[in-house]
Amino acid sequence: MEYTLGKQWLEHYRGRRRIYLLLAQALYALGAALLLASVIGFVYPLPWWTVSLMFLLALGRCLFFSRLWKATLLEVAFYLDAKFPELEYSASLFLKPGSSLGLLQRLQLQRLEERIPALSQRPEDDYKMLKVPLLIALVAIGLYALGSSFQQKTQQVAAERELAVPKRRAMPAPAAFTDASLQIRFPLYTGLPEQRQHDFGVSALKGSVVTLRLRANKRMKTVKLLFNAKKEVLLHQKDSLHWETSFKMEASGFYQIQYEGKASALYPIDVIPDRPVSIQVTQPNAHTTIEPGYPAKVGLEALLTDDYGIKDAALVATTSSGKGESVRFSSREIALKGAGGKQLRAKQTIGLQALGMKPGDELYFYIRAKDLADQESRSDMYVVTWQDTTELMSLSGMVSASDVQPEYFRSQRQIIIDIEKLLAEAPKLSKVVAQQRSNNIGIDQKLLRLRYGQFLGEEAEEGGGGEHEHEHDHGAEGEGHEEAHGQQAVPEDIETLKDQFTHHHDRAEDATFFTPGQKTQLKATLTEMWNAELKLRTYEPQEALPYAYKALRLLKDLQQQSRTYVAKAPSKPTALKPEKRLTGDLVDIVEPMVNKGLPPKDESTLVQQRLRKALAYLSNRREAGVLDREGLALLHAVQGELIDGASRAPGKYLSALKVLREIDEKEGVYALGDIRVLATAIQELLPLMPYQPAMKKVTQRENIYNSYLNLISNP
Amino acid sequence: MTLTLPAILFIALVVVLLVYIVLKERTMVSRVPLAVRYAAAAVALASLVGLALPFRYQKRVSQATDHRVQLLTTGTDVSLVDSLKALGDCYTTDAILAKEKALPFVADWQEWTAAHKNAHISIHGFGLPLTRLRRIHPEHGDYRDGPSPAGLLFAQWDQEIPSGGDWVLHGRYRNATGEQAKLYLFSAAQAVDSVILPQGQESVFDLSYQPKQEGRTLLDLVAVVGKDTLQHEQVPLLVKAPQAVSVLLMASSPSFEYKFLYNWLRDSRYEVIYRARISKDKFLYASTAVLPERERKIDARMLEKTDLLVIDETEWQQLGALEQAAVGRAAAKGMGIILMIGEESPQTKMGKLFAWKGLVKAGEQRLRLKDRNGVETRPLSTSDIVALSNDGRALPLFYADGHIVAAARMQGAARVTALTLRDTYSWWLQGEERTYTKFWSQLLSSSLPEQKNVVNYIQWPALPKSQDWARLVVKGVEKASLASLESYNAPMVSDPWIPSTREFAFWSNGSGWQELAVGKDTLAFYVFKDDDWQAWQYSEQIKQNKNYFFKRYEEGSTENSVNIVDEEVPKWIFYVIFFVAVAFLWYASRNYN
Repeated sequence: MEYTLGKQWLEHYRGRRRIYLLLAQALYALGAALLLASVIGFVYPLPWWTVSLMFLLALGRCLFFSRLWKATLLEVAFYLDAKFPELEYSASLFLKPGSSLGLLQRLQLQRLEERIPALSQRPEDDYKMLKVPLLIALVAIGLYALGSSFQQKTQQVAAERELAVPKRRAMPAPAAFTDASLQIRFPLYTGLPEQRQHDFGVSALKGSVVTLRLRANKRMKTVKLLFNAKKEVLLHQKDSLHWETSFKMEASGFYQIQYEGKASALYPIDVIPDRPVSIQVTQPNAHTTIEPGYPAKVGLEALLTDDYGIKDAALVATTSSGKGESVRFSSREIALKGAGGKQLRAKQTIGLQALGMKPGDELYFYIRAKDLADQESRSDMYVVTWQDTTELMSLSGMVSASDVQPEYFRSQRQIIIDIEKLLAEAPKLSKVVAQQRSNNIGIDQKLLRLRYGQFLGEEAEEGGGGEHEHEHDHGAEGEGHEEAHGQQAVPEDIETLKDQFTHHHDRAEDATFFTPGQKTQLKATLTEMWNAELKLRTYEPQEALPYAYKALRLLKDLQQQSRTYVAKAPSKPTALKPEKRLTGDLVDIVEPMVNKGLPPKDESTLVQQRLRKALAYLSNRREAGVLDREGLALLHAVQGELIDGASRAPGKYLSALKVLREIDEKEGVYALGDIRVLATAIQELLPLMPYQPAMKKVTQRENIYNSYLNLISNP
Repeated sequence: MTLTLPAILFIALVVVLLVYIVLKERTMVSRVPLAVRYAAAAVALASLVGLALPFRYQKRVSQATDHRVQLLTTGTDVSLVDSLKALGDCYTTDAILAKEKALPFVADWQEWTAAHKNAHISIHGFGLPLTRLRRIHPEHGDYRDGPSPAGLLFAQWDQEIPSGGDWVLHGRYRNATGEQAKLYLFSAAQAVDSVILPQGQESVFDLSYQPKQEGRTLLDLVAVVGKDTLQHEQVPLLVKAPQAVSVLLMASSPSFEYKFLYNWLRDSRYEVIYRARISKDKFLYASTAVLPERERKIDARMLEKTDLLVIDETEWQQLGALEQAAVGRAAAKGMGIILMIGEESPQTKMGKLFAWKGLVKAGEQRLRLKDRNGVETRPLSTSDIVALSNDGRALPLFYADGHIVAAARMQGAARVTALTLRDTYSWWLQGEERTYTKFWSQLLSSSLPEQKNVVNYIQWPALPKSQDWARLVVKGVEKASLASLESYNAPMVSDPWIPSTREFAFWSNGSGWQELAVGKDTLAFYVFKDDDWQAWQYSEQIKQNKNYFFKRYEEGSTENSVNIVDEEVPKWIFYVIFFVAVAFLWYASRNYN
C-alpha cells in the first residue's frame, strides 16, 4: 500500500515555499536595481528601460545563486520535522516506497497521514520571509522617487536658465585683458541664481543686470563701452588695472569695448522678453444667451499660464441693464483663486442673479492677469445675454407698414400665450382636457412650422425635423444640381421625378430668397418649433415653453436682420430755387481741380534703393578679391542700415556689420564667405519689391512684326 | 572660287596689262604672226592669274569604305570603348578617355582630318563643335547617338526685367542619378525657389523669383542629390527701374475704382491725370502735375504725352467726335487703352472689338481671379460678374470662376484691354494692397506700349562664351555709329532690309559682365566661361552633329558611294605655261629685233 498523501503534502509545501522565495528574491533584485539607479541618477539620469534591465540582471543573479531550485523533498521533510513536532521527526518516511517499509514504519506513516489534514489547516507564516526584502524594496523605491523628482527639478531649472540664457558661441574679451568676466543677475521674481560667464556675448532676460569686470594687463587711461555704435559708457576704475561697470538689459543691440584707441569685436546683446500671462478660456463661448426657462448661470473654465509665475488674476465683470438712454452699467472684479504658481486653472460658475442681474440684462466679462513682472494681459471679451420674455413677446420693431407676413410672427407669440395660459389654468382642468389643449397647441405649432418650412422648399407633410435641401449651384460649369433627401419616397410619376432634379424658377414659393446665413437660421427656427411641438404633443407644455421662446427669438432676429441703422443727425437740406430748378443752367457749376503733385521721395525708398544696388553688386563677386571704389562706396552707403538692423536683431545682422568693418579696415580686401554674409544680411533687410507697371522693352526675340509695322506706318 | 576684292583688282590689272601688250605688239614687227603673239600673251597672263589665284575643281573619288575610323568624343559610353576598338582604328578627342583607355589622342585636328580624309569617320559621344565638323564631309562620316548628357539641358529666362516684376526661369533637366535631385535657385546665397527632379528621367521645370536687387546681378542654379552638388550654374539678370509712365483716366462719373487707381498710380510716382464727368460737359480733374485750363482738352497735344488711357464705355460714347478722333490717332501711334466694359453691350468701336457675353453671375460674392498662368489672387468681394467670350481674337488675361473678365488684343499699334470688373478697390479695403498692385501692374503692363527710342539687342549664341566669337544684333540705332567694347571700337554692320538693326561681332577675352557702348546708350550683356552650362552645350552640340550628318541619310546615300572632293589645280602647271608663253614671246621679240 502506498502512502501518497504525505508525499503530496511535501511537494505542495515545497512549491509554495519556492513561490515565496522567488518573491523575496524579486524584491531584493528590485531594491538593488533601484538603489543603484538612484545613485547613478544623481550624476546621470537613467531611462526606465535601463532600470528594468538592471532589475532583470539582479533578479537573474539572485535566482542563480539562491537555493530556490535546489531544495529537495528530503530537505523539506527535515524542515517540516523541525517545524511540526507532531511529525515526530518521521516526515522522511513519506518519501520511502511502501514496499520497503517495515511494520512499525507503516504504522507510523498511518498515524502521520491522519495528522496531515490538521497540519495543513494551520496558518502559514512563510510570508514572514518577505518582510525584510519588502522593506528593502520600499526604501529603494522611496530613494528612487526622491532622486527622480530632484532630477526633474534640476532639469527644469536648467531649461529655465536656458530659456533665460540660451546657448551661443562664446566670445571672449580682447587679449588686452587678462581676466574678464560677466556676472548676470536675473530679476528677483524669476528666482534664478546668478550666473557668471566669460562669454562677452550676452543673452539674458529683460531686466537682468549685467556686471562687466575686466583686468587689464597694463595701465589704461580709459576703458569704455560703445553701445550700438552710438552711446558711450565709461567703465569705473577700481584700481590701476581693474575696471568694472554694470548695465541693465533693456533692448537688444551690440556693444564694443574701446580702450587705448582700439576697439574690440562687436558683442551681441540679446534681450529675451518675459512673456505675459497666457489666458485660454475654454468655456463659455464668446456670446452666450440664457433662454427663458434655463438656469441663470454660466460655467467658466480657463487656463492661465506664465513662464515665471502669476501674481494675481481676476474676472472683470460688467453688467448692463436698461435700454436706450437709460442703460446702466456696473462693474466688479472677482478674484480667481490659485494665483502664485505658474499655472492657474479657473473653474467656477457665475451666477447671474448673484451679480445683481435680471432678465434682459447683459454681462460682459474678461479675465485679467498679472505676472510677477507686473505685465498685465487680458482675454477677449465674453458676452452673456439673459433673455427677457417681455421683450420677446412685445411687438416692438415688428410692426411696420411694409410687414409682409405679420400673421406668422404673431402665431408663434400666440402659441406661447396659449401655452402660458394652459399652464396657468392646468390645476383647474382635468387631465384629459389639459392634454387635449396641449395637443391642439402642438397642432398649431406644427402648422406654423410647415408654413415656415415652405420657405426652405420643404414638402407639406414632412415631419420629424426632416429637411429637404436644394443646393442651387450656378457654378462655372453651370451644372451639378444636387439634392439631399432625408426620407425619399418612390416618385409616382415622371413629373415628381423631374421635380427632384430640376428647378422651377417661375414659382415664387420655390425661389430661394434667403442668403445661406438666413437659411441656416430659419432651419434652426424650425428645429426649435419641432422640439416645442414634440413636447406639446407629449403633454409636456412646461418643457415646450423654452423651445417656443427660442423659436420666437430666432424669428425676431431673422426679421430684423435686413435693417440698417443710420446715425441720427439733424439735416437741413439747401432750400430749392424754383426759378432755377429744371432749367439745365450749369454756369455756376465749377470744375474742381485737385493738384497735389507727386508725393516726395521718402528716405526709406532711397535707403532701399541703395540696398538693392549693393545687393546686385555683391552678387557679382564670385571669388575673393578687392572691392573697387564703386563697391566700397555702396557698402559705406548701407552701413547705417546694417547698424540699425544689428541694434534691433543682433543675431541676424551683427556678423554682417563685423564683416563690413573688417573689409573697410583691409581697404576692400574680402573673402568669398564675407560676401555671402553681407549679401544674406542685405537680402534680409530688404522688403519685397512693390509691383509696378512697366513698359515692355522689345524682347530678346526680335519682334519682326513690330519692325514691319513701324516701317509701313512711319515711312 | 569666290572673288575677293584683291583678286578682282589683280584681274583688272592683268586685263590692263593685256590691253597694253596688245597695243604694243601691234607696233612691233615680227615674223611670228600677230595672232600667235596675242595668244601667247593671253596665255602668259592667264597663267599669271592662275599662279596668283587658287583654282579648284571637283574630283570624283571613290570612298575607301573599308577604312573605318571610330572617333570617341567626350560623353562616349566608356563601356562601349572596347567593342568600338574591335571595329577599327579608334581615336579620341577627350584627354581623360585617352589616358584611361590608352587611345590615341587627336592633338591637331587639321592634321588628323587631312590624314583621314578618305576614311569613314564614326563619331561617338557628345560630338564635335561645328567648326571642327566642317572639316569632315557629311558623306565621310556619321554620328552615333549615345546617352544624353546629364544636367541642365536647356534654360530660358528674361535677361532684363523691370524692378518689382516677377521673373521666371523655364528649363529642362536630365537627372541621370538613381535618386531624386533637387534644383535650387539662389539669390545672395539664399534659396528663393526650388524644384524636385525625379530620378532617372528628363523633366521640365519652372523657377520663379521676385528679385530684390537692382542692376546687374547673378543668380545661381544648384542641383543637389543628398549632400552632393551635381551642377552649379550662374544666371545673369539685369533689373532696371521701370521707365516713367503717363496715364490718363477718364470716367463717366466719379467712382471709387478710378479714385483708388489714381491714388495708387500717384503713390507709385507715375504721372497721372484723372478726369471724371460730374455734369454735362463738366468734369472733376485731379492731376499730379499742374494742369491749366487750356491744357485740359482731350487733343493730340495731351495724348502725345499719354502712354495709357483708362476709360469706360459710357465715357467713350460721350466723347465728342474730335476727341474720339484724337484718341484714335494716338492709339494708332501706340497709346495703350484699358476699356472698362459694363453690363450693357458695348456700342463703341473699341468695345466691339471684344466678344461681350454679359452678366453671368449676379449678387455679392467673393471670387478668386486666375491669371493666364493659373496663379490665383486673394479673394475679391465683388458684385455681378460680367464676362467676355473667348473668340480667339483677344488674349484672355484674367478669369473669374471660369469666365473671362479681362482680355487684350492688338488694334494696329495699340494694345487694347477690356476689363469688366468695377470694384477691384475692395482688395485695398480688405488690406490686400499687394494683390491690388499686382493685378493692376499685370493689367497695365500688358496694355502699355513698348518703350520707344530704346536700344536693345539679341545675342548670338544664346550663351556667349569667352575666347570665342559672338554677335550682338542691336536694334533701335537710327544712325550709323561706332560701337565700343573693352576699348575696342568698331563700326556696326547694318542690316540691308531693316535699317535700324545693326550687327556687332566680337571676340570676348574674358568672362563676366561686358558693356557695349553704342552712341549714348550702353548695353550690358554677360559672357560665360567655357565650362559654363556644359550639359546645355553638349545637348546643342548633339543636335548640330545629328543635323550635320542628316543629309547623308536623307538622300539615301550608301557607304559605297562615289564622293566628290574639291581639289586645287597645282601651281606648277601655271608656272610651266607661264614660262613657255613668256619664252615664246621673248623668242619672238629677240629674233626679229
